[in-house]
Amino acid sequence: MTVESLFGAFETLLTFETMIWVVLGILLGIIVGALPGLGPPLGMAIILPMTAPLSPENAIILLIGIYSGSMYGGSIAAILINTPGVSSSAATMFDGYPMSKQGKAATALSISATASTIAGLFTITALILFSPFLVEVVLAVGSPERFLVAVLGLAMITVVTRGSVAKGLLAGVAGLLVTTVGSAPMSLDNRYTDSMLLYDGIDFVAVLIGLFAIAEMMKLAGQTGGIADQAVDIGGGIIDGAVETIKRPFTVFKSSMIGMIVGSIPGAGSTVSNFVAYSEAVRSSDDPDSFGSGNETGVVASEASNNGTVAGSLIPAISFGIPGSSSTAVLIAGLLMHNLRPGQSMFDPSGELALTYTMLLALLVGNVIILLVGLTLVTRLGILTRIDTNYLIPMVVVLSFLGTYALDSNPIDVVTIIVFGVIGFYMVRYNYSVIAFVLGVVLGGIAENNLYTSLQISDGSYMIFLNPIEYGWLSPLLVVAIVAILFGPFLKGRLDAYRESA
Amino acid sequence: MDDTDTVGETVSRTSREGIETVTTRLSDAGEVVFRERGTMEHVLLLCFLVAASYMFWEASEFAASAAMFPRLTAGATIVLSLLLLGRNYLPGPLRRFVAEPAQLLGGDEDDVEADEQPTEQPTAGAYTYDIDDPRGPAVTAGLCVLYLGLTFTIGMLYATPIFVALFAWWAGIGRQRSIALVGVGFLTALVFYLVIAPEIAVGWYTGWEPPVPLFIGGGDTSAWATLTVLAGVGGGRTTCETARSHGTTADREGTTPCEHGVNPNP
Repeated sequence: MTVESLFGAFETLLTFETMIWVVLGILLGIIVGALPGLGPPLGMAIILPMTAPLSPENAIILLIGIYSGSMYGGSIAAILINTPGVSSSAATMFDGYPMSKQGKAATALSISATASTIAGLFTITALILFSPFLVEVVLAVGSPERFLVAVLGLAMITVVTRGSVAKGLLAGVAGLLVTTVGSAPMSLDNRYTDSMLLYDGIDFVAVLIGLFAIAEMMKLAGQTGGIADQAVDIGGGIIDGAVETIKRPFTVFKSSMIGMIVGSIPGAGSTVSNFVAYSEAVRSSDDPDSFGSGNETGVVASEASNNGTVAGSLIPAISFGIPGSSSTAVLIAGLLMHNLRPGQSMFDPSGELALTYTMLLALLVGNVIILLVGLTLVTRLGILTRIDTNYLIPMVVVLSFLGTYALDSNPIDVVTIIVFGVIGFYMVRYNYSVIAFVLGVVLGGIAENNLYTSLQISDGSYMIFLNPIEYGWLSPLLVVAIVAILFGPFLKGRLDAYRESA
Repeated sequence: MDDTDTVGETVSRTSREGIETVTTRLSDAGEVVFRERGTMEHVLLLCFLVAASYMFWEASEFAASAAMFPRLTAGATIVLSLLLLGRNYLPGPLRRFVAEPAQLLGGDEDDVEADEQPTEQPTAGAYTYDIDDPRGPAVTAGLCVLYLGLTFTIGMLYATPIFVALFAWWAGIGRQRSIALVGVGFLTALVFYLVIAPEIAVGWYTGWEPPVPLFIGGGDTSAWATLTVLAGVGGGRTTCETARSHGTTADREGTTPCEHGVNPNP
């Protein structure tokens, strides 16, 4: 059945219409990735409402194409103007920009395209091969475990992201609270619906657009710089870049695996994997002093890791509906918008397994497109870094407003994007985890459903999450993991202090 | 002219001084209450606190099964907001939990920063940044609110070029480029009007529908068809959407059955 689904996915993918969406997604991704200040979550959030008329397959392929393409696109600005187009390309600057200053910008961009492609192909293939095992895991968990996995995801994000645990938790529970407006999932009671406009609740797509588009544009409007003042000279050999990458297979393999593993941790995302892979490349190098002054290995490690993250972040996203990054949060929103529920149905051969495989295969094809675009248009890509943000801001706001209103013609949605835009702006300003908030908004319905079902199974007893004899070991283990993640660092600190004093 | 400038400058200076006085007083008050300078973070936390308190209290009106999750999340929001607002009053261990960072991957990140680059390292979920011009975010938010107001009165089709023009004027973009930008903005809205959401031409609150450009409103179907083909999604306009586009105000007030499955709690 799984093999049949895979062949079905091939058939769907190899149609002209679907391929158009793959190519469009990758190209849009490269553009939003290359423009400093934009990025995959923003690009995906703006496009999201416009996917409403598309079939679920094409909509998800378009979104995931943007995600994948932007990982490469981010390196363009990092290499040419020393400003990462996306934060996950920050480590690319360290060696990519010095290469550019040495007249080897084309080589660096070519390395970026080749490393991104190879890492993408490798990790997506690994994910496809790994998927039967993933299917077993996903099908084995019940409602109590799914609720606890959602809480675990929130707990991990609060600890992984910078800032205090309390701030991260507050962001997460506030996100969950937003989802309680509207109809209750099981009893269909109306909650907080004083206005008829709120009967459908607060639209999470509008919340995402507010948090990622409006908040980011407010931030951009207060910042200067990040744009190339003049044309950037793109010199160096394109083929040399591809050869330099192929000569470093171990770095590509290791960095893409780091990207995949770190990417699968909710909240860690490609930014963390980017730095971890770069530091590992420095640590394992025979000549660590050469890093930071144009070492090709640095660019290879950075770019292989951020494209590897795409596959990794899809694991919790499609398995349990837990986003590994902001981009996958928008992707989950896209799945829900098209009535696809992350979890068991995404791995059910009689459900959406074919769509899951179509999505993964589209990523494989997308990575080949990245290579083709990267190598053929490499000398023309500099133009993207010369677009003034003052032109981008009004257009992004306009697309956000139009897209949001087109969702449902509900004026509350437009109010929502402004309110959450302002909230998002100040949350980021004061170090509150936006990804935790988004996770709460995306997970709210899933968490409440599973909590409600679990308590029905146990006649209202919370012991269903703790009693291993009656309900199995997985739930108590997840509870222990949640407690350890939230309080572990503090207990460790107390223990260290005790040891020192002793 | 000079008089006008002088009056303008005086008004500007007076209003700026007024805002600074209010800000200073609020910050001073924050110092007394929170034992630290009042900032927008305190305002954000107070917003969370007020909203969660209302939602916790209102949940008592719901059936038990529907009230459980809102109470749980609102209760947690209230407790965490209070802890963060009162962090300077907390005893040592609790204060560390509330105020100090703790990271699962902190060791790796610190190593990278210490060994390789002094650059600030953001993570996927949380990062801070510098604002060079604090007026930028305020003006952008203000223009968004104005855009919303115009959307409710004259509809988004014409509100869009007005918003773009105002932003271009504020950002100091040259006249020719501003005109081009306004044109692109209007064209974008027009494509939405023709292909996706015809209701954007109507002021939602007033119900007023300014006339659309003649070449479209005059029944030139070729323009519509061309834009539809260009957008590539013309076939996507469903019966539902067409019905909604011709619907009454009541239809637009969210009671339409035509949904795109956007409710996360189906």
